[in-house]
Amino acid sequence: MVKGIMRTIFSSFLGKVGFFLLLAFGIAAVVVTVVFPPDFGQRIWNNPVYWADYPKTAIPSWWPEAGGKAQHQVLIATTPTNMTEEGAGKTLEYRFAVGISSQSDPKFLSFSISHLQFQDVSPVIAVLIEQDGQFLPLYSYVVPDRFSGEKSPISRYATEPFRVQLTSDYQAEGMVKELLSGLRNRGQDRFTAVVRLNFASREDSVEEVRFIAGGESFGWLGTDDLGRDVATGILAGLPIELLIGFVVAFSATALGAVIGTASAYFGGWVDLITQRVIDVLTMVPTLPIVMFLVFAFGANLAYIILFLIVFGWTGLAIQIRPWIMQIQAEGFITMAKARGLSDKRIIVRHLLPQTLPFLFVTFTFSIPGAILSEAGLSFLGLGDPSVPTWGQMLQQGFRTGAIYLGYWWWILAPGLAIVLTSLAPALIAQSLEPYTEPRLRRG
Amino acid sequence: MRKVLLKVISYVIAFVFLLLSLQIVFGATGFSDKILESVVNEQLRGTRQVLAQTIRDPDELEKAVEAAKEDLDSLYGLDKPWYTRLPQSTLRVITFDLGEARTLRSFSGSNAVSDIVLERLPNTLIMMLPSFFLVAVFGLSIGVWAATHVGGRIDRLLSFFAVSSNAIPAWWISMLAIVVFGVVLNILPTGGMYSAPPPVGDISRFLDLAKHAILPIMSLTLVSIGPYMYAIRAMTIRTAQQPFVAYARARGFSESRIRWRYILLPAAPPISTSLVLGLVGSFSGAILTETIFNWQGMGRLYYDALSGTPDEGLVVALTVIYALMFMVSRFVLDVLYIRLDPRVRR
Repeated sequence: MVKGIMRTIFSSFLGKVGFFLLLAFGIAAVVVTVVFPPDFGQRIWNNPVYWADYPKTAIPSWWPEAGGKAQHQVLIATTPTNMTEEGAGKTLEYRFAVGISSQSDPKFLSFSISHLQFQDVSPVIAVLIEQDGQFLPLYSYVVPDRFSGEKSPISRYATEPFRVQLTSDYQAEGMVKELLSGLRNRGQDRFTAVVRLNFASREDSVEEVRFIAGGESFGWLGTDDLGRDVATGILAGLPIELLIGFVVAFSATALGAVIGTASAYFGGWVDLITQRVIDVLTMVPTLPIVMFLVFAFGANLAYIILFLIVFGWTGLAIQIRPWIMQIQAEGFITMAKARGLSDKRIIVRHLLPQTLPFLFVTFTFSIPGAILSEAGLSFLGLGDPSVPTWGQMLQQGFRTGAIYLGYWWWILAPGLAIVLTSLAPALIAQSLEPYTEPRLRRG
Repeated sequence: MRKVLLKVISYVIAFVFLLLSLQIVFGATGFSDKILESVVNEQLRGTRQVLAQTIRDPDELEKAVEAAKEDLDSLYGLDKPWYTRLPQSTLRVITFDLGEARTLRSFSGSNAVSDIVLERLPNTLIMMLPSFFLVAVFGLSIGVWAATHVGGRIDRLLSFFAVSSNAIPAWWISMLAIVVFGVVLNILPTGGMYSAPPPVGDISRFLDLAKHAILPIMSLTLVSIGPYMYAIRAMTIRTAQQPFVAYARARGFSESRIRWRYILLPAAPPISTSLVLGLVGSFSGAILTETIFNWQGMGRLYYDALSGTPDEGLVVALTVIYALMFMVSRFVLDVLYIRLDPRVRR
């Protein structure tokens, strides 16, 4: 069966496209799951402090309109480039290679430090620019000393990073401008910025150092109104969308198949009850009821998945019941019963296998439905706020008026992502039509 | 007739069952307490002002207010657990006593849920009926055409369109349409139902409304037409390959006569079913479309009730109304089906 399905998929061009698209998404989703921290949604994506160094609603930097504008760069380092230990203390050096645009200077230079910890003596921060082995000092600062009654280790900038605008005064700005134009004339495309931290104790530590070169365009897909990188959000959303699609489609298909089969096989009161349950479930409009349920129980991904499953299995159960009845009428089931096989064995070994290709197509075909339903809920403001989903990105864009203000990258990218991830399984399902409907093969 | 009666009974039972479960969900999640508490607090504020006129001593006043609160609590059943209120609240919804909205108001300023909803219903219909008509006409003709040309290039193109419209969120297309037609080209309004200020005179007012309705109707049509077309194609494909169609063709009947008389007519019952179901389904789809186009229909109302400070009473009421509309259409359909299909009638 697997062979037949694969051959059918690969015999059509769109089937192939769908297959490789889905494969690529699957691999990307695995990579994202491994690389991104598990609490990405709460700690990074929905944390405005993290994105404070990024420009708001910046245009993608490859877009022609962004050509004359400086590219915004946020360079993040969590481990120092150099560490020298002298006596009881140590010096950490963080080096950043900052790109220089050929047309315009950065709008500003700044750096930030988060979560410093020291024992007794305040660390000293120095920011320098390296040129021909020489260091050009831009800024230096001594971290505030112990407050009365404060205990070691002393912690600074844990909730809000320490941010300094390096080009805020006229003199510094002029110096940086001169330096950059000199480098540009010599044909260099980057300069090295150094953040140096002098610690008095080797146990002192710092969590993260950033160097920022201000600009108006950013990255592959620009940023939203909180400065969040749209490309990062789309990557982070990919495994979640696939998870929703696969879990909902698989559970709904399995549930529908088992209930439909059981209803036909056992008949009697089992059939009666399942038919009444199906009646009630199909008699109510799905979207408003699911909206209501999510609203009442709270927007939680597990609930959303559960509700989509509950309202997703009835169609298959209705379709499969007469089919199973037909198979039963063919006689070999009666024989199997006469041989004393258990009900479970008959259902699993003799009834379900015949419907398997059809179940597979139904499964593939329900994936886009599930993804779109969740996206719709998210768009209506009912998405789980602890995970980034594409529907929520679109909702934020819509709510803040991105469509009227012309921030096309913020609307286009998540929508296209939704379309492509749901189109891939839809194309596969479509290419399998001749496999389940032999009548169409002659066309 | 007995069949129809049975249908009526099963629908009524399902509706009551649904209402009960909605109330249970609302009670168990603590929302119904919240709604009632806000009602009680609202009334208490009035009572306190009245009492303050006559009672000067602050301690006395607090005591009197406290007594009034207890009275109100027992009146609304807040002093007892939520499930004791179940029969009462279900009965209220059945008799269409939908209560009052907390924050949202109707255009005329009333806060009764039934007023708000009744005002919005025509707006939803203005948008839905034309789109329903377009879907029916184009879906039918294109679907049957595809069924008689299975495997052709255009048939494959149509199938691809149908499949991709299953995978493309129509509301996203609506957003793009707003950007393209409303912002970049600037030829159609970006949302709302009338220009501000609305034009004077019936004809210009109507034209203004029509102009605002173009994008919502188109986007709503786009959602439903693909799957409907595909369903028609699937349903008529079997009939199109029947011997009597080949016979009709051999007799030299015109292709359009074959299409309408010999293919479409035998498949009429399931086709009308899926059309009405599609119509009912687009009630739900209209929630998203109305939201995006700021179309003051029931869908937008639902969105407004959910976002910001949620209006729980309105959410329950709207869910009930959506369910009711859906079930009534399903019921009409079932009865029609009994009339249309001679096999079911027997």
